[in-house]
Amino acid sequence: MPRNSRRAVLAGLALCLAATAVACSNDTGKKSAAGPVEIDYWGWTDIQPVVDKFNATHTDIKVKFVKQADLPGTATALRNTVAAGSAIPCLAQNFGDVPALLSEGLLTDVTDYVKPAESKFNATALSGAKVQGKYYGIPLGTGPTFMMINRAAYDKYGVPVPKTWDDVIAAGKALKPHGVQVMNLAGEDPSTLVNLIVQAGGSWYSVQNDAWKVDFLSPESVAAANILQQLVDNGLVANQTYQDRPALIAYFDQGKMVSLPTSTWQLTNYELHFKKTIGDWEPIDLPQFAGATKFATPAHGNALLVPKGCPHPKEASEVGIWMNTTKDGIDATFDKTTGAYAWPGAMPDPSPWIDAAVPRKLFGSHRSEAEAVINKASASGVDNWLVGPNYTGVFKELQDQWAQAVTKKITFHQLLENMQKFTVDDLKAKGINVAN
Amino acid sequence: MTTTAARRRRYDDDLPAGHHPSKVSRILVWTGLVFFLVYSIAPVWFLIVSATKDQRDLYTTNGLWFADFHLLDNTRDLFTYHDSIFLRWMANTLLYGVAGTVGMTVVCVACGYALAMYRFRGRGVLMGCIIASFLIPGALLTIPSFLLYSRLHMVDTPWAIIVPHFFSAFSVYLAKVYAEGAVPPELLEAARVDGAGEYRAFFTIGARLMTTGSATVFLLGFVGSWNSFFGPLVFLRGEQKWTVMLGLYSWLNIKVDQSVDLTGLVIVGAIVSLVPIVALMLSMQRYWRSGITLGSLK
Amino acid sequence: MSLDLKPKPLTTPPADRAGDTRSSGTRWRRTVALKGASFTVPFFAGFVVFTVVPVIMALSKSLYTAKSSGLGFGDKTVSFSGFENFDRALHDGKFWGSLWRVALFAIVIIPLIQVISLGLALLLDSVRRRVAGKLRIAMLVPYMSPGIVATLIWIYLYSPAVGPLTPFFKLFGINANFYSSQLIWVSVGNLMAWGSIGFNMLIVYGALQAVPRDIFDSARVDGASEWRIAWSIKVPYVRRSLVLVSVLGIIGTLQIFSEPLLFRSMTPETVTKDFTPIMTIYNQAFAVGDFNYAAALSIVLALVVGLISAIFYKLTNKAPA
Repeated sequence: MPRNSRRAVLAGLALCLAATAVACSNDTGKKSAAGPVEIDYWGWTDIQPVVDKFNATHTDIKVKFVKQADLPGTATALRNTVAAGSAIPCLAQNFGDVPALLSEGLLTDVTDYVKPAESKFNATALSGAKVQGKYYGIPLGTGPTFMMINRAAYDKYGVPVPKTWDDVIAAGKALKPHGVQVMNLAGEDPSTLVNLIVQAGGSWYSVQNDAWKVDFLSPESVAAANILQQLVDNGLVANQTYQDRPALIAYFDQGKMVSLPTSTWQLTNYELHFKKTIGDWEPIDLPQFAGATKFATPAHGNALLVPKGCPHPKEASEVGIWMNTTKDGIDATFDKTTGAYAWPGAMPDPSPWIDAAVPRKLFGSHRSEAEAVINKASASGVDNWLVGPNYTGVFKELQDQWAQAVTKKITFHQLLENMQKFTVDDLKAKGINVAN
Repeated sequence: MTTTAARRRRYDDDLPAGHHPSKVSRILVWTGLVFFLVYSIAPVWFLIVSATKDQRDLYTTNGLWFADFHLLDNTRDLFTYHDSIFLRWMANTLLYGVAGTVGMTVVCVACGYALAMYRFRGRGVLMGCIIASFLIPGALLTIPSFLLYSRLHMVDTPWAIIVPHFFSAFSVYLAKVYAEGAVPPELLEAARVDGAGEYRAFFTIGARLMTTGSATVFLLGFVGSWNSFFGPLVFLRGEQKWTVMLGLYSWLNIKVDQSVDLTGLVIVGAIVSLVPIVALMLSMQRYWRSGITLGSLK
Repeated sequence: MSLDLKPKPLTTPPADRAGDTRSSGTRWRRTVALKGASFTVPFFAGFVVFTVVPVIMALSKSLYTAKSSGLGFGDKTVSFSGFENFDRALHDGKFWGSLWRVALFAIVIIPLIQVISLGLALLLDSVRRRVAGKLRIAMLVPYMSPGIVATLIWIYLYSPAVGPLTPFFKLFGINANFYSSQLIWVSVGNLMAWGSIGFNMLIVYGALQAVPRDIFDSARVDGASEWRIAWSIKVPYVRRSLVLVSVLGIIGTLQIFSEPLLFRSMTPETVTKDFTPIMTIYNQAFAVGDFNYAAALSIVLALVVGLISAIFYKLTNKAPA
């Protein structure tokens, strides 16, 4: 084997080197021609009408929408492109938390362009786009969170409408003998836990003197864990996966599951698929923690991303700000099939678009209540939620732990303890300062 | 050699291998076959039934039986949705599939033929490379491949899908095993004595005897290319360039975070996308009688 | 088309060629071999560019480590760390646990799929060829169906709430929840079997077609039954094909990814993020963001898979035919 194979390997190596060298020498940057600055927008949600509207009303900037397959696809594409350093888009639909993406080296600082426009945004929306006081994207805010209950079922079993999470537990206990479950905790989706903590005003991460303080066992987290623990221990909740959509819809529609925290974008879906229970549902205020002093809904926002390597961050910011804070920008998101607009989470006053967001039939005679509920929810958003640089990996671990907790393999308190250890260890392993 | 070939041909077409199977064994054979037929085909029944339903019935009626008949509406929706983008995807997939697989067949059959018929220095190393490449987990190569294609200016062009498809190690392996079985070295020897060069011998003898093998290589390659979606997902930007599978995947996932649910279109689309593959299989059957023969890992 | 291929007598020049001397014969042979080798040039040029180069790039990645500092938002410092990542990989309990889990699954599912494929091929071989051709196409439908279609179908069929299988098994008093952690391997195995039996059958059936038919005649003259013929003549003839599809099966099963991932939503308490080796690698590369370590894990996995395949091949090929 020796001589022949060695020579073959060497020849192969020489060939590869030649191939890469040729490729390198071809790599000359293209000069942008004079004329409007072109901004590529990558996203999997079709926003072509918005782009058209922008292009029709602006002459110095042209936006090009580049459709991506889905969220993970966009994430992969952007990571690869930033790593390769060429053909980087200037705007990308949000696919993760800003601090985690910044830590991956994917984002660019746009503070100079977003800060002057802060007043155009809903104040709660701002923190979702910031890390350490600097902006790395355009604030998007978030959809209003409220609850939707099958009022007909509640009335049938004489269960009062819940106002607090304790009421939800009580309702669950009253409904259980009838074979009805009060809520669904999908085993793959820990967002219920996160939302409870955000609603309580808590956070897992905070910064202390250039180091991370990790606290999964804060009073807010423990309170949230207690509520979930009671729901699970008493067998009051279903664990229906979102993946099996027909089963999920059947579950709702057969009155086996009667309340769910929701947001505006999901409503048309239920309107389309429910058959038997259409008209039975009622929008109500999100249940509160017992003893809470102020009405609150979780409102941890996200950001339209400006990727690292974008040659025109100023123009990109201008486009992003226009899309999310102008009436023209929001109006252009109108979807003929659903009759709704994309939720204007960054707008200080979303009320002009609320009516369109409420479907015609789903709430039956309760439809008129929807506007007040949604308005209240979007005015009471709380966001003290801070995300650390390793949150993408932490979230995967959280999913695993959550699945164990909802199937009673561990308690929610154990979940928090495990997450505390995992997160601190992971930060340390990455060489990041930890204050604990 | 020639005598066995002739004899085989005589038996080939219609006689089953078992001469006078008993009644019991015939019943057993057919029970087994019907069982597997049902196992293979029955799940597709759900797909066909679902294709006739509108979006609401899809989730709320029995999946194995028909509700209101909407097949025509669904088909029309499929072909008109979003400015007939589905047709565009079909055309793209066909283009990438045909271009990539024709090139692949030529490159890989030539290579497999040479590995089977000639002994030259480094042959063992080359075979080793081919076998070793089966073992590489794809996850390892995503990022490096992207960086490389980006250097080669192939990202976001059809070349990123077509050209890498040319170099399929499995196809080479398949072609090599085929060549060993189908091309008798004596024939090549005779051609040489008659003064034919190696290249002419390949085109007049080797390639001809390997028609069946090449058809198989082509067919398997085409099915792979038709159903591939990871390459297009990573390397193509913008739905105008997408393939059918990537498009359907994107439609299927719309419901995860948007108010639209296109599962109905995905189901009809999936059936339509199967049609060209089945048609190809049927039309190539005559090149393809004896199926695939694979031997040792030499 | 024979199967049991010994190395062919490769082009030796006829000794009685005109003007033959020993040296010109060697030169002629070398030219022939060189021309033969030239057929492989297009493939290997492409192979080097599109496979070898990325592999080398990944290999070199595995020798480095990236570290953050401060709050973790600045640029990472990348430093050469030799085999540190491999050392870590060798002691990664979760990775080896996942490999062990998948290996156990492979030990059950691969023989099962091969036996079924062989059986199916033998059944097909005993009916008229025209009929067999038609049946073969129908049985290849699962193989032709792309992954997303198979997923759509089986999510529905398995669904305990709306699918038909759970009520079907209830008829026999079996309480089957295909999404439960007890049945997860059955569900994954069936999904794999459905997709791969057609292809395996195709290869084995192809090999069966190459068995010289005269052997059957003489066997029948000797009074052998059809079952006997199938077991003693046909099966040994397709052994090499079976070994090959098994090796491909081993490689594919140890690198299983998309099937378990599908069930992550259904039974997330069982199918964790490091359920299979490739899932562990994906999590490291794309969630934890440690591509260097993921590259090292991939290489370790490739080596282990290679080793297992080689051992399997050696064992099965040594047995007398």
